[in-house]
Amino acid sequence: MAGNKIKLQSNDGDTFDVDVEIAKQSATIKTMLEDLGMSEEDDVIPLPNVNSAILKKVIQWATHHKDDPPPPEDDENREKNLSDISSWDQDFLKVDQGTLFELILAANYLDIKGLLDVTCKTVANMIKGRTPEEIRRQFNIKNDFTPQEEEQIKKENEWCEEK
Amino acid sequence: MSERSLLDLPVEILHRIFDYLRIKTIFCSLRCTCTQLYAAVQTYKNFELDLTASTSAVQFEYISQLFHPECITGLVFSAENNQHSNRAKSFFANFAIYQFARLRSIELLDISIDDLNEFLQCASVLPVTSLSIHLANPYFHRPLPLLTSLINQGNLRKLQIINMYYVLQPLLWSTHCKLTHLTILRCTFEELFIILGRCPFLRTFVLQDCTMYNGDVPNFPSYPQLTSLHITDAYLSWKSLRHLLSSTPSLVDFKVISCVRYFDAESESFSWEELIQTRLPSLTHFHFFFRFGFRTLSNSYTNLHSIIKQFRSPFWLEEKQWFVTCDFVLNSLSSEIILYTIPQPVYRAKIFIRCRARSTDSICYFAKDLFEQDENGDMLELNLTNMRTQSMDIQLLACALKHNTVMTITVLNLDENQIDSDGIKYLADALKDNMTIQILSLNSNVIGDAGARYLAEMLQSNNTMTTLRICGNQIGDEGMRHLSSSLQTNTTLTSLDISGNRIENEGARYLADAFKKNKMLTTLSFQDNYLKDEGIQHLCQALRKNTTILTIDLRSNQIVPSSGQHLSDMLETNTTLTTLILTDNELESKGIELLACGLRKNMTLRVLNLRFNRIDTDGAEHLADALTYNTVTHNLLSLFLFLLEYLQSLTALSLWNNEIKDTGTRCLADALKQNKTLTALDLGRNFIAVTGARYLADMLRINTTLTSLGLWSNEIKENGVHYLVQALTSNETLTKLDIGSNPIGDNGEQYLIELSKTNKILTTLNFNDNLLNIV
Repeated sequence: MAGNKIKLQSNDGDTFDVDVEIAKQSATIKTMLEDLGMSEEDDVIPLPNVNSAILKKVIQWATHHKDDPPPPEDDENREKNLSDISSWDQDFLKVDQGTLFELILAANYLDIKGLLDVTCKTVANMIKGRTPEEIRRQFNIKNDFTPQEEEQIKKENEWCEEK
Repeated sequence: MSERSLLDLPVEILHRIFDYLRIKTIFCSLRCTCTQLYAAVQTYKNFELDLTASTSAVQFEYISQLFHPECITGLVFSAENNQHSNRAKSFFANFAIYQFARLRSIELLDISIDDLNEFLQCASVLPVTSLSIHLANPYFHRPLPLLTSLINQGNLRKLQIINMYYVLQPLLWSTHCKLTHLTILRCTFEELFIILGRCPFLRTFVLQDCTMYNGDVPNFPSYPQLTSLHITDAYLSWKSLRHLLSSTPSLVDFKVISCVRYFDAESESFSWEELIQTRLPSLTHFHFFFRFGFRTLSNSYTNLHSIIKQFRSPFWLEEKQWFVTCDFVLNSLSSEIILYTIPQPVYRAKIFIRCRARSTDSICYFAKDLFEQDENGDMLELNLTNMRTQSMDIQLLACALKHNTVMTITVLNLDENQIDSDGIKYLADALKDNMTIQILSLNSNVIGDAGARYLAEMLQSNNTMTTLRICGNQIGDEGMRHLSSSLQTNTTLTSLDISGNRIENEGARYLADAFKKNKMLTTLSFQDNYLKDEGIQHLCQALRKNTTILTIDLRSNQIVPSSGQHLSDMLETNTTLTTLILTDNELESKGIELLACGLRKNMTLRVLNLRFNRIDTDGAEHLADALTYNTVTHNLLSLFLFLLEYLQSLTALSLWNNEIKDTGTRCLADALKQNKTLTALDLGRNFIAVTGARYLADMLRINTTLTSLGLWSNEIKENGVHYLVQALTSNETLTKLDIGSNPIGDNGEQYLIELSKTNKILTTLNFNDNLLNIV
């Protein structure tokens, strides 16, 4: 029935009332509900891998996208189209890198395909067209290759040094 | 704030991110950042091998060694055959494509039919689900049996044929077709339905060009499989669109860019809202761009507001949030209406009048083409000449002018439209307090007396306009009365062109009254009206004391000889007028004689044009006489030119003691290049210097009539003499040259002495105050 709510609990103990239909965008929660049978309103679903700040963001995203058509199932031919992020999503994802990666992990854990897609796309956009050094700076990555390894990689990369 | 980093992501998520990246970024950038990402790349099995940038067989060989065939799921290949290499051949030589056991997508660019067949052979045994073909020769239209069988039996789900024109002939669609995505270049509206009928799983259909040739659309069954349809260059009526959309009930995403023939009553009453609500419940993405022409002879009033009204309902603005804009295109011979949610470039259109569904205040305004890079910034002149703009459209323009914030329009040109007094009413209202438009041109419309009245009212409050042109507008005395009344108080208008109307002496009287008070108008063009003698009398009377008017053009006004007296009286006392055009009247010699009296005493007039006035020798003499005694400046030379060009009788012209100077000399010399009658020209005491002498020299090389040239007491120096002498060595007509009392110097004298020895035609040569008789 429309308007049914469930309670989601973050790993730091906060609970959130969420419409069942919104929560069901998470395949993980959907499965839980179906496995458990439709739970009573005061039942609480614990989400041990998500903190409340991130859960709040996830619920915000799911609420905005509640009327989206289901994403296409053919995962195989993923388009390399990075520009089709809606402006709402773009604004939504104007967050620090830590939060972005937390959102990815949460989307992965909760199995929310749309959110996982758009967050991964956002990261891909940060990598696209960059040099190794730029990527290291962007993500604060330390170069841990030995000089020999680096030499070997450089040699292998010659094919893309186009004229 | 979280401390999570990219490296905290599990490898399967990293791979998911890789899916969005090109092979070069993954392999050459990400792989080289650190050992962890290196390892993630080494286990990645979803590379799309893009070979478009690799050129040589050596590179192919090298790349083939870097990637395990089973890690390659996508292939992008460009054939680009040339004389030096066959890229397809070297591809097959270096890559064991049959070992690409997980190959899912192939994209082929610039591919020949033979190479395509080879790739299709591979595709038929590999798990290829996506195929994109860009042919080297798009006009190929033989059947492609391999492609047909791939579509019918293979795993193919997604097919893009970017540029093949004859798609239906080579592709025999079957009922077993499993395609879910299809992109083709072109099909007819009827073929579109055939394809939909044969592809029961088709969800996405992208079509470049779709035209409906047949006016009648038969009844089509429903195609619930389709969720996304893009047609980017259609020529469809709204009726056919309705048929199409009625048979695709599952559509989520619809994009159409289409010309819709004409905007008519049917277009306006067509309810998209009803269609979408009853037939397309899932539609969430609706992008459109519809262009309508207008039947030029129709009386359709282009009211943007009534067109856009239906898109202002809560359904559009709140529920769907599709924001429609309606543009009226101002730049073509026939009017166009564009209705859209996504803007598109419009060829040869720069300015639009725009109305948006989102603003409900009934305002339309100017807009520039979003795709036009405007280097000049603000638009200065809005030229809508000969647009067949009707008075009804002016209402739209007036609204846009009133609410204009986009462009600083200083010139508004609406010549040659069919604007009548109703249109002028709107326009005048919009211009009442306009602060930018300085020039308004409305020539060749049909505004009439009523329109003139609206303009007059506008001039009472407008404080910006300096020039008003309303030639050829059927304005009579009544209209002139209103305009004159406003001119009495207007303090900005400096130029008025009211030529080619129906104004008679009554109108001239009103205008004369205005001249008594107006202190701003400097230029009046009053050509081709019906002033006649009485009208001229009114005007001349007013102009006797007027000190503002500089230029007045009275050509073609049926002015008769007796009017010469009015003109003469006016010229006698007026001290401001510099240009008086009286071309094409009937002054005749008698009128000129009268006019000449005043001209003798006038010290300011510079240009007097009397062409086509039936003036004979007598008249010319009067003029020449007036000129000789009148110490006019060189500027009145246009009159001499008139004499030289049009009076065959004039043989001697003395301009002794004027201020003709070099510039005037130039005009005279130019005129004499063509003249075949004047034999004697006296330019004594006219401040002519070296440059003037040069003009005369140039003239003497061409002229074969002039026998006597007087240059006494000018400022011709040695160089000037040199020019003249050079010209005279070849001149065979001039017999008399007076260059006495000029500072020609010893060398100048020497030139002249030399000349006298060689030129045997020149019989009288005066220089240095000494008359030298050669013979």
